Amino acid sequence: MSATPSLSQRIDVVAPENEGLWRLLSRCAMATPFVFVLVFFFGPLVWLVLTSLSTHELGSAPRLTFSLEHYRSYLGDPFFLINSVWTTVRLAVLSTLFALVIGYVLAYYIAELPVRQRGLLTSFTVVSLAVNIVIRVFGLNVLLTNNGLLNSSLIWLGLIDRPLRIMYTETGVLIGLVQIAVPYVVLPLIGMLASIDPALREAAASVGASKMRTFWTVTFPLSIPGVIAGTLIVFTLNAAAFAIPAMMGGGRVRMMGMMAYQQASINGNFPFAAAVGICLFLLSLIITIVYLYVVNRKFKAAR
Amino acid sequence: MASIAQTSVPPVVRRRKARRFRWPTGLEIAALIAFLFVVGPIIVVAGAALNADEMAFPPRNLSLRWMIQALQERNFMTGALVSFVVAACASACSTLFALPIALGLRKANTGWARLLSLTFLGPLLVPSVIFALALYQTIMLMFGSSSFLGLFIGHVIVTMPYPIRTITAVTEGLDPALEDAAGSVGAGPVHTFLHVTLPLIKSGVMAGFLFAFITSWNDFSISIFLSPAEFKDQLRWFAHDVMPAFGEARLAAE
Repeated sequence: MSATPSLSQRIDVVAPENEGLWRLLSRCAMATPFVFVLVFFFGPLVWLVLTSLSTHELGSAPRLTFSLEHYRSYLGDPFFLINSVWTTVRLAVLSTLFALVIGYVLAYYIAELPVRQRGLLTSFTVVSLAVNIVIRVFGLNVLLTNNGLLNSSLIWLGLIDRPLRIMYTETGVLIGLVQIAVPYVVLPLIGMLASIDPALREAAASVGASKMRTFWTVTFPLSIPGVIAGTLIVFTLNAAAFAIPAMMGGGRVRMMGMMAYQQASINGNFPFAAAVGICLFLLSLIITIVYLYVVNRKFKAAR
Repeated sequence: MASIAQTSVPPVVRRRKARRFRWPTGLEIAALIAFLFVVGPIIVVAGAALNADEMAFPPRNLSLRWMIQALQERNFMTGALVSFVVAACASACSTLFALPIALGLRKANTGWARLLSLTFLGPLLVPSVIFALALYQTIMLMFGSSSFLGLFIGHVIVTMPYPIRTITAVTEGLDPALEDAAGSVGAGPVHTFLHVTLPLIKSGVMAGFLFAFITSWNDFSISIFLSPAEFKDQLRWFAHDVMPAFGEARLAAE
C-alpha cells in the first residue's frame, strides 16, 4: 500500500516532460556517432582507395593515376592468391571456430557458478585480455618451442620421441590466434548465458528433454546474439592480424595483414599496401555479411 | 595468489562435503583446460620475470630485480599515465557513442539495421597499421598537426566497434514489452531509460567498455602515428612493455 503514493508522485514528476525535446536529443545522440564515423572512418577509407589507385615510384610520393596495376598484380598472381588470400581466410575462419568452442565451454561453466566465483574467473579473463599481445605470444613461445614445457612433458610421458614442431608453422599461428581470441568470445557470452531464465531449462527438463537436447534447443539459440558478437569481433580481428603471424609464423605464414604491413614499412610501397588493405576489407566484409545472413535465417525461427 | 585461493574455495568444499568425493564432470575438465589455455602463457611470462638472471621457466633463483628495474624507468611510469588517461577518455566516449546507436538500430528495420551496424565494425576490418596511416593522413589534412585531440579521435574510432557489438547483442535479446510497460504506467523516456533499459543491458555495456579500454590501452599502431611529438618516446617505449611484472619480457622479445 505504501508504494502507491510514491508511484503516483513519480508520475506527476515525469509526466510533464517535453516529448519533443527528448526526441530531438535522441536524434542528436544518434547523429553524432554517425557523423564521427563518416568523417573518421570513411575519410581514411577514401584516402586508402585513392592511394591504392596511385603509381608507386621509389623515392617520391605516390602519384594518383587511377590505375588498377596494384590490384592486378596482387589478385592476378596465383602465388599471392593461394599463399596470402586463402591462408588468411582459412586461418581466420578456423581460429574463430576453435575460439568459439573453447570460449563457449568456459563461458558456460563460469555462468553457472555462484556470483562471487563468477566475478573472480571473469576478472582473470579480463586481466589476460589486458596483457599485451607481444607478451602473450612470448609466453606461448616459451611453452611451445622444441625444448619448451609442452614438448618436454610430452616426451617425459613417452607420447612422442621427437619434439613437435609448432613454432614457426601454420599450427603455431593458429594456436596464437585462438589464444588471443578466446577472451573476446567469453566476455559477451557470460552475461548472455547468466541472464537466461533458469525456468526455461527447468521447463524443458520437466517435459523429459535430456541435458544435451535442452542445451541445443533452449540455451544455445538464446545465446546466439552473444555468439554473433564474439565471433564477429574475433573474425575481423584475426583476419587483419599482423603481429601474431609475424611472431608465431616467423615470416613463413603470409597473412594479408602482415603482407600489407611489410609492403608499407619495409618496401615503402604504400599504394600496394593500400590495395592489399582494401582487398582484405572487402573480403572480411563479404564473409561477415554472408555469415550474418545465414545465422539469421537459421535461428530466426528459434528466437 | 594464496589469499584468492582461500577465499574462493570454501563455498565449494562446504557444498560438496556431503558427497565426500566426486569425479569432476566433463564440463569441469573442459572448462579447466580452456581456462589454462587462456592464462597459461601469462603465468609463464610472470614466472619468467621473477628470474634472477636469464630467461627460463620454471624460474630459477627468484628475484624482483627486473620488476624494480621496470618501475624505476621514468619512461615507463609516464607512459603508463598517458596511456591510462587516453584509454579512459576514449573508451568512455566510444561507449557513450555506441549506446544510442545500438538502441536505435534495434527499433529500425532489421535488414538495414544489420548493414548499418556493420559500418561501425569498419575500423576492425582494415589492418590496424594501414588504417592508422590513413587516419593520420586524414587528421593531418583536417587539423594540420597531430595533437592530443587527434590521438583521442584515433582511439575512439578504433575502440567503437567493441561496445557497438556487445551492446547490440544484449539489446537483441531485450523484450520491448518491458519498456512499453514502463511507459504505460506513466514513466517518461528518461526515467524508462535509466531505470528499465540501462539495468537490462548493463552486462553488454560493461563488456563493451572493458574491450574498448583494453584495446586502447594495448594499442600500438594508432599511437605511433598520431601521438603528439612530446609523447612519442614514451608511447613507443611503452608499447614494448605494458605490465610492470613483465619487464623481463621486453629484453627477451627484442
